[in-house]
This record gives sequence, C-alpha cells and structure tokens, in this order.
Amino acid sequence: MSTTIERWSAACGVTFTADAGMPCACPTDADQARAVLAFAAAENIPVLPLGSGSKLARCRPEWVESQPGIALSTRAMDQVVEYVAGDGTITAQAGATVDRLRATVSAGGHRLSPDVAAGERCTLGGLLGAGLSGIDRLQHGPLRHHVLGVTALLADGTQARSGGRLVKNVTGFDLHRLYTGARGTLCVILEASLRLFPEPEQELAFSLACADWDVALERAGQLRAANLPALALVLESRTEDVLLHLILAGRSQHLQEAERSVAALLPRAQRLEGSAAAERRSRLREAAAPGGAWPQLTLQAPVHRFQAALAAAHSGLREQELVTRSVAQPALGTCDLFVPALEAADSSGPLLAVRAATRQAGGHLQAAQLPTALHAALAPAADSPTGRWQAALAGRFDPQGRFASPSFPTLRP
Amino acid sequence: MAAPYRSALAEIVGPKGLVEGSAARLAYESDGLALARATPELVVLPRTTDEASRCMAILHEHGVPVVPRGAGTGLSGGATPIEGGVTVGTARMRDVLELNPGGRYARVQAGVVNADLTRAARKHGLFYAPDPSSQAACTIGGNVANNSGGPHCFKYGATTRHVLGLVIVSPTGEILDLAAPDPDPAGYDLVGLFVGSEGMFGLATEVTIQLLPAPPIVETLVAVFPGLDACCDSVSELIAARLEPSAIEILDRLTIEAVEASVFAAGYPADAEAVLLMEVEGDEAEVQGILDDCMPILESHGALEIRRARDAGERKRLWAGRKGAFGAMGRIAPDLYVADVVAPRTKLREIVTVATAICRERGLKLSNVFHAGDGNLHPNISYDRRDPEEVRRVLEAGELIMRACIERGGSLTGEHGVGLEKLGHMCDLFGDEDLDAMLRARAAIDPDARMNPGKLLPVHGCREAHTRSPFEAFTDAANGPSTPPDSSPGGIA
Repeated sequence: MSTTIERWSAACGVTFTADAGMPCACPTDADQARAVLAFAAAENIPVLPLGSGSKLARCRPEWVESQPGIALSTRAMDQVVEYVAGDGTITAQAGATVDRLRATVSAGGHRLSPDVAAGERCTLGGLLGAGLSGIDRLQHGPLRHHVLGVTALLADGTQARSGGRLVKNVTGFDLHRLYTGARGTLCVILEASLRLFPEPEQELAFSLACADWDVALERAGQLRAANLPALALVLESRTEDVLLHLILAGRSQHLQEAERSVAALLPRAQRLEGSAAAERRSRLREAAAPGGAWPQLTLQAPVHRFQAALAAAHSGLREQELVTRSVAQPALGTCDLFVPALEAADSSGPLLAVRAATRQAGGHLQAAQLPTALHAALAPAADSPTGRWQAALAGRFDPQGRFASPSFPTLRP
Repeated sequence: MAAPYRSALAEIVGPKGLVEGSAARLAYESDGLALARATPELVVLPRTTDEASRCMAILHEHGVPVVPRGAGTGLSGGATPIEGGVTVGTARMRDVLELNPGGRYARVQAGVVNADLTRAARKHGLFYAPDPSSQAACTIGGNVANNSGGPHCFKYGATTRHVLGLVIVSPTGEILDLAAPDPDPAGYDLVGLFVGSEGMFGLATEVTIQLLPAPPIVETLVAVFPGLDACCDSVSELIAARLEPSAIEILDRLTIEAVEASVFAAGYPADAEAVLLMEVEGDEAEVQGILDDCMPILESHGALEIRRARDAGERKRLWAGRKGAFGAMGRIAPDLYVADVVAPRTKLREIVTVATAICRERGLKLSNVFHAGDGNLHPNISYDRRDPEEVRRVLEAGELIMRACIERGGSLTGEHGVGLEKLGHMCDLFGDEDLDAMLRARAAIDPDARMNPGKLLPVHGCREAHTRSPFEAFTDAANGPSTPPDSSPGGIA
C-alpha cells in the first residue's frame, strides 16, 4: 500500500495516510479535497467521506469489511470559523472535534448539542454525516434540528452552500437536512453552522434500580407525564434489573420545584448534583457506544407503542437465544440494542424473525453496527416511492456513484 | 374549450372539487402578494390523499404545471397561479385524522387550519407551537410548504421542528408515506427536505405534527421604551444573556398608533416610541426566574414602564393587537409592503437604522413590527399601488433593505419564503454552484419542473438574475414587461 499511497499523494498533491487498512486522503482545504475527488474520478475509485472514523462500523460497515477505494478525511480542516456568542451560533470546519467545539462555546456560556460520546475523536462533519443525536435529545431535540447551514463538496467538485448561520431562515431548500444523516453518500461536508443552547445553571441526576422493564417503563411514563425539565431519561438493562436514570437541567429554582415531583415519584432514587451529576451524564453519554462499540440494532417506535414494541423485540431476541443489553430512551421511543452475537455471519434468519415480531408490535428496527449483509437485510427496498426518491437524489448528487453504499439509504437492486 | 384533462379530474373530485368559472377562479388569482396575479386554468380541490394522487397523475400525464395551495395567505407569491397551469388546493382536506395525547402528536389533513389544530389540542392540555400571524386562516400544509414561524418560534422553533411525518403526493402522483411519528428517519431526511420547499416537491396531503404540553403559567409583559434603538439593544442583550422567554416582539410607534386606532386596539401605550412584547412560559419557578433576569436588562436600556398583562383576556388582546398589526396598517395607506428579512440578533439596531434611512431618503412611511427574538424583521412600508412611481420606490427600498441585511450576515427571508417576490434576489445570497445543488434536488424529484414553476430558484443561474434589477424582474413577472400595476383593489398585504 505504501507505494500506492505515495503515488496517489504525488498525483493529488495531498497528504495520504494508511488508516485501518485503507488509503486516507487528508486535505487541508476545499481545493485539496476537490483534487482528491478529481483524482478518484479519473481513476474510477470509490471515495468514503470521513471524519475520524469513529462511527465507521455503524454507518458504513462495507468499508470495514473491505476497503474498495480511498477515504477522504476532513480531520485536517479543523478550525472554528466563527462563534457568535451574542447570537448563539457556531460555524466550524468539518474536522473540528466535538471537544474543541464544546470548549469554544463553553467560554461564552453555551452548550453544544448533541451531547455525544468520544468527543475527542468525533468531528463535526462525522457527527452530521452520521446524524446521530445525543443523550440530551429529550431536552434539546435531534441533531438535524440544530443544523443551520452546511457547505458541502459534491462528487464532481461542485462546492455548494445551503442554509446559513442564522437561527431562523427559510431561504432556499434545506439541503443541509438532506446531508445530515446521509452517511457521506451525497457529499463531503466541509463546514457547518449549528445553533447552541444555554449552559444550564444546575444539573441533578437521579438513579433507581427497577425490578424489570415493565416497572422501569411505568416509572418512566410517570416522569414523562410530570413535564419535568429533563435533559435525559434513560433505562439501562443490567443482569438482574433495570436501572432508571433521570437528569434534570435548568435553572436552580426550577429544578428545586422539579425535584419535589421526582421525590414523590421515585422516593428511593439516588440523587447526585454538581460534578457527580456531570459525571453521571458523561457515563450515560459514553454508554451509547462503550469503548467505541456501537449497538447492533436500534429500535424505534411511537412513544405510546414503545413498551409493546420493546417487549416484542426483547421477546424475539430471547427466542433466538440472543443475549441483549439495552439502553432505552422511552420518552423518545428509542432503544439501543447491544446484541454482539448478531455480528455472526449466519444471523440474518434470527434477525428477520425479531424484526417481524417488533413490527407487529408497532416498532421497527434499524441496523447499527452490523455486517453489510445484515444492513442490507434491514434496509428498505429501492422499489418504493420513498426508495425511488432516495435513489433519484443520490443519482443527481453523485451520478457516478463515487460515494455510494450498497445498503444505504435503500437496498440497491 | 375545456382542457383535455378536465373531465378526468371531474370524475375524481366531483363537482365540488372543481372551480372552473372565471368569476370563481378570481379568488385564486393571487395569494397575499396581490401585486402578482394570474388566472389558473382550473382549480382542483381533492378531498383525500387518494384523490390528490389520481389528480396529480392525470396532470403529470398531460404535462400541466401545478401550483399547490393551502389557504393562500402566503406573502411571497408562492401560491400565485401560473398561466395555463392548474392550482391544486387542500381546502377540502380538513380532517384531524388522529389526535394522540399520550404520544403527543396529531395526524391531520393538510387543509386543517393552524389555529383549529391548537384549539383541538388544548382540550388535552397540549398545543401546536408555530403561530404565524395568519394562524386563524393558514393551513398546516401551507405551514409545511413555507416552514412557517410566528412569535413563539423563538422558544419552540419553526414548523420544521414540529413535523414528525408527512404523506406526500409526488409530482407524478405517487404517494410517499412518511407519516409515522418515529424519532429518526430511516435513510435520507426527506421530511426535512420537503418542509420549506414551497410546493416544488409535490403536495403534502397529511402531516404528523408534534404537540407540546401547554405550559402551566404564561406571563405577558409590555415594556415601553423611549426609542426603537434602546428597544432593539435590550433584545440583543437578552439573547446574549442566553435568556429564554417564549416570545420577544417589537412594535414601533407608527404600528402602535395604527393598532390602537383599529379594531385590534389592545391597550398599547399610544405615545410609546417602541414597545417590547415579551412572553415567558413554564412553571412558577421557571417563569419567575426568567422574569427576574430579564427585568434588569430591560431597565438598564431605559424601559420607561414594564407591566404584566393582568389576565388571560388582556394577554389575548395584546397578541391580537400584535397579530392584527399588518391589517391595522390599512388605515395609513391602501397598501402595505410587508418586508421579511432576517439578521443576526447582534445587528438588530443597525438594520432598523439602515431601513429607516433608506425609507426616509425615498419619502416612504416605514413602520416596524418584528420577531426580535429571532432576528426576523418586518420593516413595513405603507403606499398606494395606484401610484406607479411610489411602487417603484417601495420595491427599490425593499431591495435595499434586503441587501443591507445580507451584507450584515442576514438572509433573504425569515418566514415568508422566496416564492416570486425574492426569486430575483437568490443570487444576492447564493452563487451558481449553491443554486446548482438545489436544482439537482429539484431535478431528482420533479425532472419536468412542473411543480410551482418560476418560483424560488432562478433556473438559468445567476446570469438570469443579473441581467436586470431584481425588482424589475419581479414586477415584470407579476404584471408583464413595462406594465405599471393597475388600480384594482387589494394591496400586497
């Protein structure tokens, strides 16, 4: 590989490294990124837009299983372009890490959302490409609602901006919504603007062990109905029970009042404040991808059907003798399912059985860290109106399929 | 002679679903941007998604341009018909299909009126947050097309943050069912792309909407300022202090005078140079905490008086006055140019100062009423459309105000959309490559460009827009080349 990398590096005028067995171009600006794309087009080589690769196994597993081309990492484009404290917005290059963004906005009394794991590795571009929300989603909403604008590089070198740096703006199509969560299949994100949130005056964390999922979900439902200033409401399975975590964030006075409601609903909950509460939040954040390992599946269901859907998923997995650890956010209708055994090559049958049971209960499963073949098993077929729109968009933004994935967004025929 | 597709459409929607007579079609010849008018060939009003799908398929087969329409309350010409085209309206799609209090969502047909949805939700202790001034008439589908805002979007966000799902009828008549209220889309965020696309990607027939718990306590404040500058500066400081009222609005003296002399009279102090209307929501501790932080800021910027609405009745009157402001301006002049621009909140005073100077230089009467908390300004110019020279000056002033906003980091539109009105200005903000990407999205979904043609995107790139000044392009598109506006009734708003 080293000879190939040297040749390519010389051809593009861009630094290449060998990352996880694949040649990785690390342009320092848009012109260099464009040069890499032009080179890849000339050589007919697939390109994987990449940040640091912290979510590669989850979002583009085909590139973990084999390395069919070049990764184009934006991690060398890592500057904060503008932080406007007075307007509550930040604009940064795609390679800026989440930790760097956090530190920048913290100085002005703001907090970045989403609150995600591995902030020292996770880049802004990778965050947007993956489209994953954080542990704070209950209070702040999903990541895609925070993106104000994006500058992107299309496969043919076109550099296009959508949106802007304003918290309110309806000028033109919201292509930045299309790019967010597209997993690098439409463009290379070069720069993005996000809206920010005020750093809360106080955080309180509560935890309570519940006998089982039914008890935990019932308590969670009561907490949700109490309309608390909840940053996060998380249920975490353990061997013998289910741990309920609640994090409140906001003004101290407001939290005092909210705490009375929590005490009434969870009289025996452990209570943490200050740095201990922050540490609990940090642990919950990291639980989304412990040690960098993502869940194999994500369950989604409308909130009022979540309990039944989760029960069906758990039951289905038990029937298939698949050991599961679950981290659920019931107030959002989502659950991460850690099922390492699914990564075995012959697990498509069990997986489809679990999917059928879950669907019958009103939920559906999305693939997370799974082999490509299993992503394909869960991906919607291209032959539907939605699939056709997605294929048409990919076809217009990347007619040569330079960034294409075999199973995202839909299963290619 | 009847259009060749007429009988096929009639068979689908029935006699109530077709508007054919020339007098009847007059009601559809413009939206709130009355300067731009055209007569649709036909108006089709399907009752269901299935009817809409079949109608769109027929129109696709015949290559007919289509203009989707909600209530026609838009202010940028987004629902202005196309000569020879068909308007497809959602006026008969008015059912609330499901209201799920436990799930905190509603699934509604696109023609449901915004205010009616909130009224229905209130019975369950919930509400729908986006509250444009036209909410008594505008539809949810129209809100989706424009990504509508309103005063309370300062805290809760515009429509795009509240749409959980859509059923879309594509330009070819296919039905995309994206209705499920799931937290995250599988695949591309087609819902996010569709919201704010101004009818160019198809017709939304059903919308799944997030509902929020109604706050237990709402406090409404009126702060009177000795000048608009101080009022703007106080808002900039409130934002910089990261405070979170639910709405922050500014009304200037001319606006207040008009409102207080109208049926919308709300008790605003008639001699105030500027008034800040602010709302704070939440439980008791939260509301008091925010008020405790806001008051010193308002006082430090010279607020002469700060008072709370005594009761729900007064609060309702104050908001009716605010939301009736555009209509109240009719007593100043027959017509009102409602500008809609957006700027960083750090630049509020600067933009207002520039807008004032631009209008003064042209002898125009400017009033300001705006969503200060979002930086979304409405510098409104009163005029008489029967005076072509005044119309020219008004459009020129509007263009200059827009450019001034862009130069200061702002954008063309905060909530009214681009439509026809700002088509010519897209190149002030975007370059050819930016527009190329948008055209690619459009080409993917509507390769024939039949959906709402001639709106939002200059299809020939910025060369097209730069051959003549944007307001010339706009008035020509509205009235035909070199034709002054006629004296028919109705103004821009």
